[in-house]
Amino acid sequence: MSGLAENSMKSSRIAGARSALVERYGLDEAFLRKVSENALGKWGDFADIYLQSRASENWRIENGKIKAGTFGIDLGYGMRAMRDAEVSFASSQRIDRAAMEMMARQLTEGYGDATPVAPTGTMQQSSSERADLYGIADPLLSWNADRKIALLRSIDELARSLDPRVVSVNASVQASHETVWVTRHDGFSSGDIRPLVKLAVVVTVLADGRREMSGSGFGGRAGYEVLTPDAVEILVRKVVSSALTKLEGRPAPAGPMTVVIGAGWNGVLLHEAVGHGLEGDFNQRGSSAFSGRIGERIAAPGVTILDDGTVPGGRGSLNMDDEGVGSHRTVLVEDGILRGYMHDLLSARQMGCASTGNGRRQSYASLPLPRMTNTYMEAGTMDPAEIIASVGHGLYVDNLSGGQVDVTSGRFVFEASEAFLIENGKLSAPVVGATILGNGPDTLRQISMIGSDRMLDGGVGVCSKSGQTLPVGVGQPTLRVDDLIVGGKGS
Amino acid sequence: MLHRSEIVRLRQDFEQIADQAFTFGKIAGADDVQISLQETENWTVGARNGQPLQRNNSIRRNALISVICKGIRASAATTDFSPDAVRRALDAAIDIARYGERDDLAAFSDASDYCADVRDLDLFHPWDIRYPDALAMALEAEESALAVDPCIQQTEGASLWSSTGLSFLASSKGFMGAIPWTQHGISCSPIAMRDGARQVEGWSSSERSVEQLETAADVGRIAGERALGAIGGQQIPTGTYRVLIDAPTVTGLLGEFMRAVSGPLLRQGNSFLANTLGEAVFPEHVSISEDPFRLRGRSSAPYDADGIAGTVRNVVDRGVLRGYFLDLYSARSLKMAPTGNGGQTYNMEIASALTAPSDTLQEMLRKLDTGLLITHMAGSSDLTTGTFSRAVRGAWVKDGKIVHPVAGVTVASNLREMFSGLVAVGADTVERGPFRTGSWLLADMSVGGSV
Repeated sequence: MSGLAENSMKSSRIAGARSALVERYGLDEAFLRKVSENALGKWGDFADIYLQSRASENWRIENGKIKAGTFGIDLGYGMRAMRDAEVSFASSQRIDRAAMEMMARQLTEGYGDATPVAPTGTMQQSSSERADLYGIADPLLSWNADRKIALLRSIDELARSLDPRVVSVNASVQASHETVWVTRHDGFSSGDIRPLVKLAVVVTVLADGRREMSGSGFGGRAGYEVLTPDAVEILVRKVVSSALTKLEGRPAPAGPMTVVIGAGWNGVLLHEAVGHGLEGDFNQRGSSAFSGRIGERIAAPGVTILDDGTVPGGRGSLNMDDEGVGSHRTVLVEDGILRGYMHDLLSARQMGCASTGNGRRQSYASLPLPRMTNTYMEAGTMDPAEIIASVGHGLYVDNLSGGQVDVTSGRFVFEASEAFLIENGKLSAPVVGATILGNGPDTLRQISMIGSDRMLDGGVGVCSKSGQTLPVGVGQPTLRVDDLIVGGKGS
Repeated sequence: MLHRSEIVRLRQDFEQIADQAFTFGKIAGADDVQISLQETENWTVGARNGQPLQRNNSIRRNALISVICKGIRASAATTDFSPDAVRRALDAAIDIARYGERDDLAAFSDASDYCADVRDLDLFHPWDIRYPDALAMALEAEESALAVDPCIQQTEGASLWSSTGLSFLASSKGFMGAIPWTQHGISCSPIAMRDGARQVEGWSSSERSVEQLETAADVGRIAGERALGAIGGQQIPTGTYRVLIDAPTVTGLLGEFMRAVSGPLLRQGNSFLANTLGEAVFPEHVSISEDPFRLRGRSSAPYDADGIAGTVRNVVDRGVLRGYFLDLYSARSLKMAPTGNGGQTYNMEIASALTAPSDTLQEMLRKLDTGLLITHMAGSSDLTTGTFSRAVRGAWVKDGKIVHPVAGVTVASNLREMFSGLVAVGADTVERGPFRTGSWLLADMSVGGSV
């Protein structure tokens, strides 16, 4: 794309956001700046206003019946004033001048006695040298209703045709179109328009009274056109085959063992084991297991982990974050050495560095926090087959379902929805009910082999922190991790 | 904050919006219209390490408008309650309904099924507190946690929060109900540190009225004691052990029981407890009751999302499963009667005929004798098969006494086996979410730990 085209794409994105959220409600940037300044009162040193609208829809098929979808619009704004680390925040859905002026006055009520401080200067501009990462078209309009219904029906039919043991098929398509606008007290303003699409398929199989379920999906920041017939067919075949494999599964063993973790979506391991612990807020207050360790070796040479909000069309990608800072490609761990944390404006200024464009919020009604975008480990050099062959007795994890981490202790857990025993370097019996447990800093050190097959996930990840959920991307190559705790009821 | 007088006015506004929606709907060709409106005001005050941290105020509205057109149901949501916006949402729902498939199970409740007597359950008790006083309470909780032991030097914060709302439901088939409610809470999360290890633990209290809340000092102290008890956890060897699960952690298991016997999983047969009505799911000494109508109850409500009232009942009676939790759609799919549990769990209590008032946690540890006390679980279960495998923290218990904290181990079993193998329920009762329970003593479980 030429520089000219890139600029015009960016300017149409910002103009579109301005038109949808500012001009449409009789506001302008000068007014928003004035209100932000008023929100500082005599107390604050930083203030901003965040306006957001989100239109969303979902369509689904359950047991062969199309469920007409739900369509929704959420619209509102949040206003915050800060003084050092202290935040006063309010949100509302009434977008008009009088209501905003009143909110600005109320924001610092009761703080009148504070010693006035000088507002901080321009903290950080939106870096936007690069092309936009996704289009601004409304994905809800990218297909008509008939096409969405036809897709859902074809999924139901295909899944049932693949094997008679398939007894139930649930599939859904979801799309959202989000527009955001930020104005700060120092006059900085910018906006973004974000499409998001996701297909999810869940299949239940039944044989000899045993029932197993498997699910997966894909999507990204795009319109429904990413749901190509070929990609959909691959997904459905994979989901059915995983469910059938689970029918053969025996209980997972318990105890410490070598675990080989397949590429792609299993990067959710890194997200839990390492990612959350490198978020700036935890590290600023010293409550992460990785606090105060920048520059230290925390993993074997060869381990490089990035948070990259600039993947084109990526589920976690952002042209700018929810504080107006352009997304970055942030090196977190480089060749085993801890290089940096992920910051929003608040954690960055508390730690005396720049925001990394990780300030994200679920909606106008929540405060921004340092959050991941697309987090992945770079490829190594090993052939994945060689990695499996290197294990005498262990577990191969093909697919993880969700996980959780306790950032303070570093302990994480995730559930292997599809896994196989490894015996003498070969995959053997499938196992079910394998929970895998480790400690982030220990697990990083226990990575002993890194595959050459780095992949990003298909675009289904949802991350939850402090009650706020957000779309994220994850990825990794095939990894061998020595000495993880596997918890199952088998022997 | 919404006061009682504003609630009255808001209710009148909502009734007007509903009437307009019914009129619009008829003109636009909808056979029936159901509208659910909610307005909520929330505030939060947070402190960390002796300093004020956060003060949040938010007002949220949400409308969900559902229509039935020629037997097809569709819905649209909006946060704008102006007549134009409501009209647009209604039009959007009617438009979407053109593409759905006829599904008579999705029809709204029949007039005779709607809750006939919308009781006042005394759920509305606004918390009128000034910011400095709220901040002082958060700081008091934190100080109380820090005072527990010198190894607690910092916290992840303490906070107070309060929500006030009006939930309204109306159907053109002849129902209109409004529920004014409040919910307040206080929580504290101290971090214990010793020999380079850190452990955060929390405690919280949440109730309809301030008078019901635990005091700030108690919340902080209990949180601090839990953090202190958890620091320095070690693995135990892989093996099979008896297990005692403390009461707050049991509430998570009760949540899984409830989901496994709820409509969404049952109607597709995707629950390990499908088709078990009338079977013994727990041992004979165990019963589980449900009460939608407890005054000031945290999970009390006069009706559910379908406008149908729940009932006071025993879901499990002397071990036997006597009732499911059914929303209207699932009930019709299963050819059963709805139980008023559409999007709504009411107050539930588990009781054992074997429990004596003297069965404190100490006494339960004596009953455990030697095994694993679990005070925290992470992960989730496979409710299709009942497969249970979790990461846990807790303590190793020998001869009825805590020997050392445990962390970094897994426990595994099957929920069906765990429920039917429930040995005893403690009198160390807590309430969390909709559940009220004591600790659970269980037979052998597989523990994954060190070699």
